[in-house]
Amino acid sequence: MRKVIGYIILGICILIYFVSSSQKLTFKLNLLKEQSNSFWGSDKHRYGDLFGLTYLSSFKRRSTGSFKLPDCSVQKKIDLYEICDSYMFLFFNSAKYYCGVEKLTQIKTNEQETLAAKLDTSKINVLLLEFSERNVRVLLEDSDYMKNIISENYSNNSKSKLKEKIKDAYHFLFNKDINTNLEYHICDYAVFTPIKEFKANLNYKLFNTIDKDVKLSKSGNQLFYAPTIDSSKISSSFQHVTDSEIKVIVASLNKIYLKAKKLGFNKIYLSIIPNPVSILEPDYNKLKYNYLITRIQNSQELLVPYVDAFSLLNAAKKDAYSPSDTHWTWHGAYIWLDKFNYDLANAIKEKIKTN
Amino acid sequence: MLYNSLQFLLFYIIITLLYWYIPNKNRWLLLLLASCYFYMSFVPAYILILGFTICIDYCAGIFLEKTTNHAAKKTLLIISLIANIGVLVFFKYFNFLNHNLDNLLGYTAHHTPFPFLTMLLPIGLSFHTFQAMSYTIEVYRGNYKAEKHFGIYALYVMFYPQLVAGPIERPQNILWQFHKEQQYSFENLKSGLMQMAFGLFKKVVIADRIAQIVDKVYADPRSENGSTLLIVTILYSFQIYCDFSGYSDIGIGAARTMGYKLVNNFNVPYLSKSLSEFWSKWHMSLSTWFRDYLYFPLGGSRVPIPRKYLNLMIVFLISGLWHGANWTFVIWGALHGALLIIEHLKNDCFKKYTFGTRNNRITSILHISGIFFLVTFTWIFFRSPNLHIAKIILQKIFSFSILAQFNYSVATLPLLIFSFALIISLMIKEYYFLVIPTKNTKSFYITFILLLVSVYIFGVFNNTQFIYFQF
Repeated sequence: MRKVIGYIILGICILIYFVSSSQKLTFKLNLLKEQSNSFWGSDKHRYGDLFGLTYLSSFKRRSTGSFKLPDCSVQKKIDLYEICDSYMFLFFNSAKYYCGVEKLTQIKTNEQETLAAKLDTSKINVLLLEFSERNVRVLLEDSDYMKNIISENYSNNSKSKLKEKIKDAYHFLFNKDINTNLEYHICDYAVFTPIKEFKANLNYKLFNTIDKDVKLSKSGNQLFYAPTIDSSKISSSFQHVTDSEIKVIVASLNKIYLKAKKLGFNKIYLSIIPNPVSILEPDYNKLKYNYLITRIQNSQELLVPYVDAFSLLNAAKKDAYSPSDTHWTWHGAYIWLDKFNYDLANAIKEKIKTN
Repeated sequence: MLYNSLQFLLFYIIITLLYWYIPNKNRWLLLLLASCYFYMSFVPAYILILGFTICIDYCAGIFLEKTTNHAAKKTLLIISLIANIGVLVFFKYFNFLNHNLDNLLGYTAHHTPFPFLTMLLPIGLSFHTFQAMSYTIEVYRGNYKAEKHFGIYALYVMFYPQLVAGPIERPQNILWQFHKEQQYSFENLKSGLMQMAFGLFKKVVIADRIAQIVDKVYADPRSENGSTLLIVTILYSFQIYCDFSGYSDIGIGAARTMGYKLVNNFNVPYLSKSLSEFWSKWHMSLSTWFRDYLYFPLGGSRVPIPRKYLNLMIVFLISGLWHGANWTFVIWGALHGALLIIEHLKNDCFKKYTFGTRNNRITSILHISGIFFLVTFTWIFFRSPNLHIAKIILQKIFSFSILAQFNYSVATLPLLIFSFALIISLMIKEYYFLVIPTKNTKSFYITFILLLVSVYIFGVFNNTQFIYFQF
């Protein structure tokens, strides 16, 4: 009997380890868990990703608000490509959200994806460069990945496929995210949430400690992602940024812009989504906000037209950001989308005019 | 793969169960493959460095045994030592030496001609290098026969429970165990699991919680007062103890559940009444390594007294350098060396003039406290990133700001009380039981479950590395 139990435990452990080594399998399983409301569903992101880090019950709020699809009567003539992060692919993952868009391709920067596509010249090809403020300097100051994000040679040969397979096998064997994945598969079930909340509340009340990646706002009503505050980090809204650094970032953006133009894109837009702390508490703990976004947008040398997310979200303030998430609320997302859709509709109108 | 991670938990369960389910003849292979995977989970490419030293030392061992010519034997030993120390110097000390050369040349307005290395230090390099060296030295001395089985020899260097932070094993203790057929024993399983659980408790509940306070203060000691720095340095003494002994406990326990007995690494060092006693109870596998392979060959204590003191200083300077390529570690080692010399001088004087010290409870407490504060004082150099910061901390501690109130913004009063309560409980527990007894199965289950629950409730899980991994 003891041997049989041992074999069962061994089988389960091997299965969990195998699944956790695969990003694809983990992603698929997580999707199922996040959609489920039963005891085995996942609460990690249900109440905001920062709640999923702290489990402080006072921040356990389900994101509310419905989303109105754009009401636009223009013809679907656009192929939209987005070099983007979770602000886009978690919220707008289909063409239905965009005005006049027939096909949507998202290139995720957090997964180091690259844009290598043959453009359909019968369409209006639009490229959106979207970055969250915390990633701007990481990606645009000196990143080889970003320098080669647009590949001019579209290839689909077997050699590169084999290379990809070897790369996948390596990532499977030595997956750097395996601990995060294991946590999803072993601990992330709704049934465990009350225990996690008990631990978090006890530690907060007794020792005033919360997860090291999270910081509380002055009022205590908002959670912020710590790397966006810690001024020793490049992702911080409060680390000093020199003018020459701004020039480097703008030069990187211009290079991408020119490369995309050469590839045949008709319109290219830039949009930098501010860190919640930049909008909600720009004087956090007497720190000085570095105004990274406005300095880039106001640069005389910047060639790329931009969707000014900073002004849009700054006007909406608290309504734009969730108290327990690093991302915007559906309301904040809608404000931005409305402006972007206006630009897309104009692009179609312009094309019709020129034809 | 950190011991305080879910990856290790699953890895450990899978390997241990597989170990008991497969035939004995294949177990060495399973353990070797598991150890390779364990090491490669940090930086895969560094397995090549380990492979290089394993091949050199394996061949050196075989030839050392075959050769009867003393000069040839010596040459083989030197080749093996150069290969091991060469790897260590290149990866660990090259930048340190280059930086100091650059500073020296700076006086003549010149710069170092060598470029600085940008690669990461292979994890646990000092540990497995020392373990490999002990093998060739023992074979050279004729104390142990060369291992013929390449796989078993590789396993001796790579055995995952002690690969990256010790205990540093000797061939006499562990190699024969890999040849022996291990029999499953419930007693071994219980004691191994209990040692692992308590090691995890020491790491995530005590060390990592204290680390939250220590890291905050040592990140900017200029803005702290003397009393805060003193209390936090005392806390650091326990952080490093719980961190390192916790690691050793998990490693020793994991090996025990598979039937292997590794050497003990700690024996309640903070209850030592002298510095010599402290060093016989702190990181015992390293202390005995230096004793057997450096101090004794230098002549040990069977030489004129000034030479004995010089030998002590050499050993501790090298021990300091072993810990890290930084002047702070050299000073730390030098301080321990100097303090030990003073202790030996004092003992020699007492012997000469037949003075005696009374052994009662009060003198014991005074001795223990004195040694603890001396050791804590030296940790300032060990923890500081550079000598300048160490100097600032010392200036603050030895100034009037020692009378200022503790800065409660770095740690709340309940957190401080909790930390010290845990430390006192730990000392009492370790004084009475070095390892928790597990003979009674019922009490084993209760204690084990209670430990795991408190690890979960009060543990800090943020993938913090073990301090000694950097060495």
